[in-house]
Amino acid sequence: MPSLIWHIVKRDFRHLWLWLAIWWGLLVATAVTVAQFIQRILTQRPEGDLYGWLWFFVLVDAVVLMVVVEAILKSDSPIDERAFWRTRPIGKGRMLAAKLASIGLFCFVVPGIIQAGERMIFGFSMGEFFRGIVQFAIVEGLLVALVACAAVLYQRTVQGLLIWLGIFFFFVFLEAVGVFYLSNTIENYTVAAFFIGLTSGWPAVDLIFGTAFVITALMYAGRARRVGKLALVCGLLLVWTIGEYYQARVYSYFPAADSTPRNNTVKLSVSPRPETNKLAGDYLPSYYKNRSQLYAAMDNPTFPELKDTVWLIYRVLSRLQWPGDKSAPIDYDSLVAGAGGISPSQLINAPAALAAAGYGRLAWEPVSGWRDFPVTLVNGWQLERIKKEPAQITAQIYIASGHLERIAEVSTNSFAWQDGITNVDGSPRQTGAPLSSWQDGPNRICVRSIVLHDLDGISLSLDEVRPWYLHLTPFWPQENVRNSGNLLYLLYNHQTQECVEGISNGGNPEFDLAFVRTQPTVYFNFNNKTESAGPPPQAFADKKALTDWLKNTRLVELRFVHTQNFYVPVTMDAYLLPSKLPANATDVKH
Amino acid sequence: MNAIETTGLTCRFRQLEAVHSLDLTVPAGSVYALLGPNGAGKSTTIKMLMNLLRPTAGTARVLGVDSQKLGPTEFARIGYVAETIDLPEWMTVRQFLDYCRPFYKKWDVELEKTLLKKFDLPPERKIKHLSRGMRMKTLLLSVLAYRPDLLVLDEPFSGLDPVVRDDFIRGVLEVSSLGNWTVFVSSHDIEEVERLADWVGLIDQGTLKLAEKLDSLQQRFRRIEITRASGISTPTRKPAHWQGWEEAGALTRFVETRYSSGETEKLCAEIFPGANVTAQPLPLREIYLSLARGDAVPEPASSLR
Repeated sequence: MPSLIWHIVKRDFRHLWLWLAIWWGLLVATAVTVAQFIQRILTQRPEGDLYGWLWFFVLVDAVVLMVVVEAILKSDSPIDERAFWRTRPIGKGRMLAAKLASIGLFCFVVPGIIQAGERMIFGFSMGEFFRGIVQFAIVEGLLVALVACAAVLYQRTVQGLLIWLGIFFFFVFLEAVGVFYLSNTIENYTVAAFFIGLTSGWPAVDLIFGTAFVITALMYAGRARRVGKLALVCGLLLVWTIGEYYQARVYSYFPAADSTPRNNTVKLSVSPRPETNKLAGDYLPSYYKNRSQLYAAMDNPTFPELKDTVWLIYRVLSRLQWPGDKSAPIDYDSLVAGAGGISPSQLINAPAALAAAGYGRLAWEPVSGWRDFPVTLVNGWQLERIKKEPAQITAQIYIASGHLERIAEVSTNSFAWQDGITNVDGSPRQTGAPLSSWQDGPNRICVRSIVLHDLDGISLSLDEVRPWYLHLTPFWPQENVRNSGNLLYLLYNHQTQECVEGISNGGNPEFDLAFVRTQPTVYFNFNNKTESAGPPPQAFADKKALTDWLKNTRLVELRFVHTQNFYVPVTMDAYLLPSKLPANATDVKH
Repeated sequence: MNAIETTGLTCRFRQLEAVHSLDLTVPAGSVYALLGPNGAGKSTTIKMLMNLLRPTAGTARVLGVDSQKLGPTEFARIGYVAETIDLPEWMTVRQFLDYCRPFYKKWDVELEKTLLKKFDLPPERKIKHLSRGMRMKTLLLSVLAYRPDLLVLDEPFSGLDPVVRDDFIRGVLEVSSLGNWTVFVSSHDIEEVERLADWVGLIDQGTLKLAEKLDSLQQRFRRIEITRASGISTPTRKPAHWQGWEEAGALTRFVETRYSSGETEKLCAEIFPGANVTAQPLPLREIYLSLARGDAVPEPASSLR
């Protein structure tokens, strides 16, 4: 009898229309704020207080959401003997369906429509739209499930929430016991590592909230007894905890850096290089209708010099710290990878995707762990949950190698924008704090207004990439990278001026190759013991020399090396995209 | 067929046994009053019958269905009225009735209108602004309108003024007279129940002390007044079913709990030769009090069914 379900949904709406109006109004207000937020990003203006407003709206939004969900369920509580519906001719399953319909309609569908309007304004594609909706549903669903479970388990929701809190701490206690055990049995397993893993652990969150949802359903559809349900929660948490222990025991730690050459080949895919403009066009975020609009917004022309350059596209898997290097401090974050490794499309799109497609997602960050957040990438890039990849960040590096000066300039600005020496225009770059301080970096970055220039000439402000940074995850020792034989490493040094000069003078044998001559800030370290290529030259005469060398060399290792021992192991898929290709140059593999 | 039937129904809250092995039978078509003092277990019994509480032991069948399996089909035939039911306060009376209507195929709109008028309910007033009596009448209306086969009233008169009580009882009586309804009402308001019930059960401390037809009960309980002849003293041994013994001069008064016309007078004449014996019917209240005080020896409930 669907009409009866609809009947109850209508009753819920009449009951809660004021709250819903307030809430949906808040969503609209948030959308407007986000719109302004994005506009300011695109025009590289400081965002001012908008970010604060955004957070304010979203926090209020969360509170109102909780009130709404609680009221929907309390009006037909499965546990309250006084509940009117319990002696009326409606089945438990149907009432559950009605409640889910109310919550779904009020808390997901209508907000989704509001978001749809917002996204349409910004020209997002349907794919992006649905992706954003899914994100919204997942993140909001977690909160809804928690509140719903508390509301159906206890006559007073606060009581239920407190019980949940108690269960959570019981779970923490269990984990702590396990950590104590593990720290005595496994090398390098520390209490600190455990807690970091705990706070950023999506599986735990998913488990808890998934269980909350199941319990809510059972309370309606089954016998309303909570003891069994709570036992179920504790049991699942126990299983999860044991799983954590097991996982900790199974993972081995990344071995120390090994300088032995490896026989892994570089995969070179050679294909016609797209026109620069087209390339830029590929990076167009969908909220731009056309390139000129993008350029106007970016207020920067493309680099004409890049037109004939060879493009190397690296796929970079980075981690914060070289796992085997126990001497290195662990409190770095991985923003260098974000800066150096993020493609223009990511840099451009990620902020918009995150902000416009998911202001709610931004907002839920404090609830669900803001470092570990699903990121929506546009232009066909795969949806990535950074944390999902153990100890890895997937990013892209674009390096133009047509003219070494240009390489230096571009690379500098691609990779070295935090501690680099100069800007592209030659003006002094502000040297910043060590990377370890980037944890709270966004404000710092905003204040400095450092400008990135990527290879397609699109100027990117750090304001633009700021939302991205919020979602990059620091890697910790227990989050190990498997030492896959397929990984290729290229040592890439990110040095201060003094250090670079020292290297240029041949004072540092660790760095063998400088891609730049006059202002060397970017280093690729090809192991000079490679079998076929021999030691890389100190400089390439032209792009052919570089291409030839790349084709014949075997890259052993790529690292980002910061002066503070910032290492990034990298896998590399290198794509050569010359303007004039040899006929047989497709998918050349070495 | 019995509308309600329980066997060994027990409900225990930790150490407290609220209902103890209750064997109860409510014949279909009867108006059954479950009487008992506060805390006797009346509401707990009803909650178990309505599947709001799970029995610790025993079983209950309501309209032929295990009470723990009561579902939409059965609840469409049951009208449950209790003071404790949460009504949607934000609704007006009319909205509330509009909300209830789609749940029932048998909803009688004409009856609804009639009762709305009879109960003198303000349809546009919000429930939260209704008096207690009006709320109860609203709730009663919402169950009478679909003509349930079984009407379960849990302490319906509690806290109502006499006028509202009268309205309430009239409503129940009038509507129940329209069909073969079974009414099961728990109360400690004996006078009101007496107007309604044709069956009476007495529950105390979770145990059913008595269950009997009201007229049978009233037939069985009589107040006997004996004016003794001079020289006749009070007997030292009295029958156990003579309760509430009182004496004042030549007048002896007691409650006969097994009154039988002719037999009782004959027994009195044997014990009080030459005495003048009168037997008067007792109101339910006095029967109840007599039973509640434990003066009277009740007939075993099971044997009276």
